[in-house]
Amino acid sequence: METTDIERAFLDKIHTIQFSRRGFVQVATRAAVAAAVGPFILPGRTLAQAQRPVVVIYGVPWDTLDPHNHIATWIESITGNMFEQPVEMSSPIDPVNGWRPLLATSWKRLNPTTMQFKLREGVKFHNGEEFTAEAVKFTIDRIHGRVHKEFKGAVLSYYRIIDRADPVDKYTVNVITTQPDPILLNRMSGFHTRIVPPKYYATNSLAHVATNPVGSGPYRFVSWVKDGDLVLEANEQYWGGAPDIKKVIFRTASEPSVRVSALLAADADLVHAVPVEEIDFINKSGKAYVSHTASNRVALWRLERHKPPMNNQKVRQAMNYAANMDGLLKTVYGGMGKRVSTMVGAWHFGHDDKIPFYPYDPNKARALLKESGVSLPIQINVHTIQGRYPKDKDMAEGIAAEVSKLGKDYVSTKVTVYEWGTHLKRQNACENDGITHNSWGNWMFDADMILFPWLHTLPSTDPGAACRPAKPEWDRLIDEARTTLDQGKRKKVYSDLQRQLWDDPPFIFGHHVADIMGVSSRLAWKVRQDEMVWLKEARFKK
Amino acid sequence: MWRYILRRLAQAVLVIFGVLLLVFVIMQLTGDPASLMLPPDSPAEDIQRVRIMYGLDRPLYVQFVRFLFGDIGTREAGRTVRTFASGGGWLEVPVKPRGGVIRGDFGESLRYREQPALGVVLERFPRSLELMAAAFLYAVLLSLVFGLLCALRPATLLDQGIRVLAILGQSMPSFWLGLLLILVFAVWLGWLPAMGSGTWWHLVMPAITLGSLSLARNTRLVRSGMLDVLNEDYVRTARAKGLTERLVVAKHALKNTAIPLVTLWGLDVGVLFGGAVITESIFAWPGTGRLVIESVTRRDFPVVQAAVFFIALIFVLVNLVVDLVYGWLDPRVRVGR
Amino acid sequence: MGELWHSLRRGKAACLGAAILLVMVLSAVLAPVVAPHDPLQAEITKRLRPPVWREKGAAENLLGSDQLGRDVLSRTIYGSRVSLMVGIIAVLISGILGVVLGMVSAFQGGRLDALIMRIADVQLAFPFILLAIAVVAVVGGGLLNVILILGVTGWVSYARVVRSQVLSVKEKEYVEAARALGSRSLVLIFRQILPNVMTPVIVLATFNVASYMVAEASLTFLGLGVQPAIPSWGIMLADGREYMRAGWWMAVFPGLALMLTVLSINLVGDWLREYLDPRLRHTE
Repeated sequence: METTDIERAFLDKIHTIQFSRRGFVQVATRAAVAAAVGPFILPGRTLAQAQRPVVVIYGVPWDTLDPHNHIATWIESITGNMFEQPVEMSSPIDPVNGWRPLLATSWKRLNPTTMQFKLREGVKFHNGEEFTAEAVKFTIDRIHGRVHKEFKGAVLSYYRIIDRADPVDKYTVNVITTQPDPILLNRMSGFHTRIVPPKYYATNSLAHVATNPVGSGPYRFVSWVKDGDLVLEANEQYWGGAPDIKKVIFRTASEPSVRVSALLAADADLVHAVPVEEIDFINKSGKAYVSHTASNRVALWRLERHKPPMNNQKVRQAMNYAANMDGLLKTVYGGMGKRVSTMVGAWHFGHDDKIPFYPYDPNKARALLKESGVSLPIQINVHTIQGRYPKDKDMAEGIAAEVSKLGKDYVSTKVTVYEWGTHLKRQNACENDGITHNSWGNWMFDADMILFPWLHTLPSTDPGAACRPAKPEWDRLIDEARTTLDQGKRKKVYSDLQRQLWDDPPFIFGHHVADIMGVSSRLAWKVRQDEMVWLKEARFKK
Repeated sequence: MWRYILRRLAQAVLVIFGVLLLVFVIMQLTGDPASLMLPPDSPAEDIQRVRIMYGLDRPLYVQFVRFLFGDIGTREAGRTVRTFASGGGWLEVPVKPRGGVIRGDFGESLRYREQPALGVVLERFPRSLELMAAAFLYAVLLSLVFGLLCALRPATLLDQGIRVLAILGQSMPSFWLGLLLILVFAVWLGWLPAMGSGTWWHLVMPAITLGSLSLARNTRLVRSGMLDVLNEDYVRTARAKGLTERLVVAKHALKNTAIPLVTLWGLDVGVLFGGAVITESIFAWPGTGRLVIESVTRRDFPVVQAAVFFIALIFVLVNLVVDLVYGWLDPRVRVGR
Repeated sequence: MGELWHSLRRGKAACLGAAILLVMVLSAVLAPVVAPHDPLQAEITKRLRPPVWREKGAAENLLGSDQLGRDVLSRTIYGSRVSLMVGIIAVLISGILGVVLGMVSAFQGGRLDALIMRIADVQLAFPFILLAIAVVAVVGGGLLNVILILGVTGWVSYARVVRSQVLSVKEKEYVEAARALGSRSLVLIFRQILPNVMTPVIVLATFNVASYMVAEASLTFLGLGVQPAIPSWGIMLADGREYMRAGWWMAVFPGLALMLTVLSINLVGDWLREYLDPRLRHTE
């Protein structure tokens, strides 16, 4: 079988193998030498601290740089460095007095459906276009599909109420709503009211503007590799003064420990979603520190009231008594976050601090279960996701464990983890029973923005309609509050509604999600409450 | 020979078609992408609008035909669909045109809004290729060296040591290896960048992480293959004839070991693609592996389809070449066909 | 049988491997008896306790506790059940599928061979991870699904190896001789060919038992694995990666258990391979 033919063929082959091996050895040798001396000669590591670009690492990637074509707070955060909107929220958040002028300098209501904005003069977009009332009109037209027929704003459902923007003169614009809107100012603070230059966004293709954004903000776009680096540079002509940091790179690393490692290895300056257990370690490293806050996002666990056993009010109450939210926040959540008495967060409009937290009371929970009339023990399924929000799975497992502690005669629990898309699909189809993890970024800082989407009865064709509480009284209160401009009355309505929620809990009431960011020592920076990372607020330490 | 190659090419087309069908069906089963493109509480009208725009409202077979052959020749081109608006009245929704796979158009990405799916994949592939090539070289060359060393000195300390290392290499999930490497070389020693890409330095840890499983497996198989061959009669004959050990190894043993190894290397391409998903996620490497997993979780059908098509195409071509080489090295196989 | 025992005793490494494996199997079977705690019982006030010999350790949790205060030792013991089950059952599924299809392919040749090899090509060309995600998305994660995913997708390498081995063995002198003597093909397969193709299959299978155990961990890393209601080494490793500094024991002990098991399976597999291949036995 060893013909000379094969031998020759094989020897030819051997030659090529040897050849490539020789090549590899060269490369490998070079690599080894470089690895040995690299730390001393690597460019970037020897540059002056202040000249190195600031690297920001998120845990999730972004899909587009079109400010009107995304649904994610982190994309809102990133694009917020390039685009601006009429008004801006302060941090700490204050939905009554916290509104700051940005592209608008002042505003007043002319009538229940019209608000007039005076615009900042002399602002230029990065491409040289002038910012005027026409740009505001164009932006509102764009999200409604009146610019490109095939394009509508991705979160239009929150902006349909804004009918149009009518320019009065070059720097005055009237924003008209279809009905009185008590939270119009909130809507003017981001997402679909990020103002874009009309000429550029009208004449370029959607594909082009999605990857080549032009705004009026403190940073201008340089380059973007999808799932790779997004590079921005300071807008030296920025109306608010050129920012301190001249070059910024945004990256994504899905592993929390990798983000922390990058921070400690000086490969990153601002890293998002640091695990609570790493905080001490980072603070003691001398290379970085942690800035954290209870953020605008609220985590809550839906009690699936359309199916047994959660169709029983007493069982739902029992779950809130048994969950030991304080204990879990103190341990699993590392003392971060902040409890929420019902659904409306501590600084959201409509919050009522007279409404107490559910206390941890396992005996009461047992008593309620006995009174409820359901046959014990009940089986409770806990449906959760993993790794999308800080400690999502750990908290779900923690709740399950706390509920289990009621005893085997009362309950048994089972935790199931879903992939995000499946989780959403199951919720839309109302497939879950028991308890489902939810999380809601209330970026309008108003009770309406969480109560309406989660409680209001939906048209039966809408996904998720079948598992709504469908209580006419709640619908009535929500509708009342969203159509009156009398903020005092709104507050009262929301207080009433929240008391009812407390009594008939649609959720295991949760907590503000912690926003924990790692910051390199060369930067002075404080995390905002609204999940936004705006580099104009960062400074190099002197 | 040419007829054989042609036949294999025809088979490759069939395989690709099978892959396309499979990925199409599987993605359909995973759910509706429209609900992931809108806020979770979106009204039915908005969801329906997105579904119409991307052609997701059509019956499955129509979607598949459009996917393969596009609009031209059908009534789909430039279609506008009227649907009920929630506020009453009608809503006109323009349908995005499709060129079909045969024209290289997999449609627009649902995640990277407005971007052509195949373009997104092709844009990312060079980065994966870079990483996979480095990992492949690392795995194949080191495994040959280790395997040979073991086979030539079986049951020695060296042999045992390498074998235990190889087994440990296999027993450590690659995500752990990656995280440990970062901890040691980026955080403690500060030699290598913790993540990202751009320079040669960025390549070192991901390549080791990705290649280690193949390295361990190949080392093992090179060793056992060599041992098998060294015990074959003809090698013993060669030894008996008084040939030096080195010559025996080079001329006879290595050659016969190489034949099954070539098939293995072909399969390694698939292993590397699979491993790239995890490695690229850990090191934030902007390649196709990460693209695939992100796209699946976001139900970005066009990109998943384009990526799977592309990966399958490469895999099939590589293995076609491997088979040809295999037949060329071992005429018995060729005769067997 | 005596011969087997003799051979086993001769290989010290194999003995060590067999011993470790036996411990693992026993602890899997006897988990409810051996484990000091319920592996699912959480006690958040006792979370992240280090192992007993470290400062702040407690005898209650010999190997420490995890992020929810569950006992790492008990979870590791219970975890061996999942890992062994995943490894062994998945290999049986993929091995049997692969050997049968490979033999059929090699012997029948022609269209059937072509069909099987095309299906194999489709299977190989289709990214495994995608299949895993799809299955999880459609039918949900869980132990059974993980086993099925690994088992069903793993057959190709067996089929290919068996097929190529059979093709090269088929023409060998002893097979030719047997055929010339008029052996029926079934007899031929079992007497002459199967033993000759089993060596690489066993090497592959031992490797795969181990690699499936690792794959279970990787699937869990991607959030596609066994559900938290069943403690597995994969879940422990994946959970532990966020606590590499704050609670290294969470991942180190299941990791060690995984490594030891993989190591011992491989040692036993190597011995088995040498035992099965008479030529090797006589030369070493």
